[in-house]
Amino acid sequence: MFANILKSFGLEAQFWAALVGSSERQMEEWLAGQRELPSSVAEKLSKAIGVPLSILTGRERIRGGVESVLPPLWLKAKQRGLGEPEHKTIALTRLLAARYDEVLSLTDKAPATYRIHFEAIKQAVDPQSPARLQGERAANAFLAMTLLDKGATGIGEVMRGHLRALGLLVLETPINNKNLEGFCVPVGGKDCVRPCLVSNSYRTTWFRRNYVLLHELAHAIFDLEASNAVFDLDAHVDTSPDFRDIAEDRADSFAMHTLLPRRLLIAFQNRGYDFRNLTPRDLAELIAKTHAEQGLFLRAAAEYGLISEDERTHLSRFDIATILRELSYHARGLAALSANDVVYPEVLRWGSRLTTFPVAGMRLPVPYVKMVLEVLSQKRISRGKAAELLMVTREDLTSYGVVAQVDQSAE
Amino acid sequence: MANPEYLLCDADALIQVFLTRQVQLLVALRTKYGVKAAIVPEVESEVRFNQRYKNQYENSLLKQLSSGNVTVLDTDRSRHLLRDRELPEGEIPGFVERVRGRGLEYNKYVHEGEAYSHAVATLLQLPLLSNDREALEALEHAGLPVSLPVLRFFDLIAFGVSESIITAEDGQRARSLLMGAKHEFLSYPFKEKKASFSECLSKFSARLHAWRKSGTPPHPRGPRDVIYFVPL
Repeated sequence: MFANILKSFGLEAQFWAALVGSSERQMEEWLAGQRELPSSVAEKLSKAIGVPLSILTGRERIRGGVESVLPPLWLKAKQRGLGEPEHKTIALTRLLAARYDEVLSLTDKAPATYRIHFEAIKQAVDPQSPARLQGERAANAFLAMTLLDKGATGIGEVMRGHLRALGLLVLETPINNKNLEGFCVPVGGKDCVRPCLVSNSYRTTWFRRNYVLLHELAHAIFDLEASNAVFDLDAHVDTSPDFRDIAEDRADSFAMHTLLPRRLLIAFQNRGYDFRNLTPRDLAELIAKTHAEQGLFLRAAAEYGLISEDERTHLSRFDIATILRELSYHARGLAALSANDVVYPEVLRWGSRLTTFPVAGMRLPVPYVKMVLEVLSQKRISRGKAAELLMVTREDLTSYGVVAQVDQSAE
Repeated sequence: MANPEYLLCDADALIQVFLTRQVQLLVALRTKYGVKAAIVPEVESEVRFNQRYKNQYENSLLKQLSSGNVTVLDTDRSRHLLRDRELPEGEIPGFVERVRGRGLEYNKYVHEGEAYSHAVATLLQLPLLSNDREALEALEHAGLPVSLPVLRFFDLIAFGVSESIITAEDGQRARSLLMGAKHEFLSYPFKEKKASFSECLSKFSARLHAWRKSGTPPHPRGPRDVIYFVPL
């Protein structure tokens, strides 16, 4: 059964070998049924693809074809034409979520409360109202609930912390497909399912990812339970019939109103910014302070009637990249930052936080890395386990400031 | 007490056996003491595709598996062992499930290879060859039973020298190879660069010895205790 399930994905043995950290030859032996699949490997695959362990190991028989046991998100990924890099990211995301839960079980972190909040947000929305209005109402409810509606400044720097505090898994990682902006999938086991918001960091800015994460949050609130997975492709390439449907309009409106509520733009006007006569520096300052990208800022300003469509077109032609890099460290990249620029200075020492083994190239969330290093420093886990959790080799742990095991005992 | 049927090996320690070309030690354990080197399936995977050495030792392991010098203690082999120990047939499936559960539990604290090695070693009461002291400490910290005892690669070397399976020169060569290899772990006295192999050996508290006295050798009570193998 295990082999049939994996084969139904249409991916090479190499893909699965890399995912579980085995040699290709051994994976082929398992797929051919020549060798017994170890329970730990079955466990890992079960977490990555979401098929119950009992089915993978053949202890439970299935009625119907292989498709009947695959979580719908894989079918949806197939329908959307997503390929190996995206499958890899989804599988890795699920594995990471399982490990996140594992580390959480060793710490005293608060339990996930997202369900209560999601329910309250949905209660605040009239499902009969137009999609954009639903998005706006939901944004207001979310901001009020998280107290992010206090103060007249951008929320980009704090929103990730709030999302994680609700129990959501937030990942910003490079996916080798620039058309896939982000996705939202349920992750975790039967008793600890949680939404995972993924934003593709490949060739995107931090400002864009703020929007993408909030867009995915809206999908998590409204659409995830019904559809099991939501994949957001770039609007220019997405030609699927459901594009720009209610869910997409609502998610777009939610992200815009959360990141750029009308009151925030008015507050900046009151501070002296004349939106109709902005200079490139003014616009760059506004982007740096609101944490939203230029296009979204101008769209919001036009939608709120603060600028005309002609003014929006004119302002959208401003090239503010150089000034923005000068004004905001978020536009400069991690390498150019100093310890004073970031909340957790150790992040600068950690470097890219990319996984190296068995699968390379996934960027790990800062709080996750912090948790792993915390339990390691308490000696609750071994270095080998820390390497497993951070998906790096034991040698690569030095990039996180972890020194190699030294036998100093004079036994 | 009779010798254990198997000496379980962790990936790092088994790779050191291959790296230092000391497979003869495993052969001698099997032929002279009736103790076979064994690995859990997780360790098989880790040696065949290693984070440090990639596929470098896959063929070495496959060769030793086919020659019988190393055995994979998978479900089937565990069943055989339990039958040989005359465990009632009805209890065997439950035992297999306990290995899985314990492996999962241990894997919360230590790497998969060490987790399943300690899980199997504790349930089957087998000694374990593993250099990972941190894994041992993490499991102890969590209050979990660990293998009795846990031997290090140099226990095998020291045993080999004392039992004339290998010469002191072989031991020194093995030590040099590990010193030359980047990132390889060496037990305390052996990493003292200026000390001779014999000096290191005299300072080393070996945990594996041969038992040539009459009577039954004492059973190790802690992971750092000595285990005695009785020659056949």
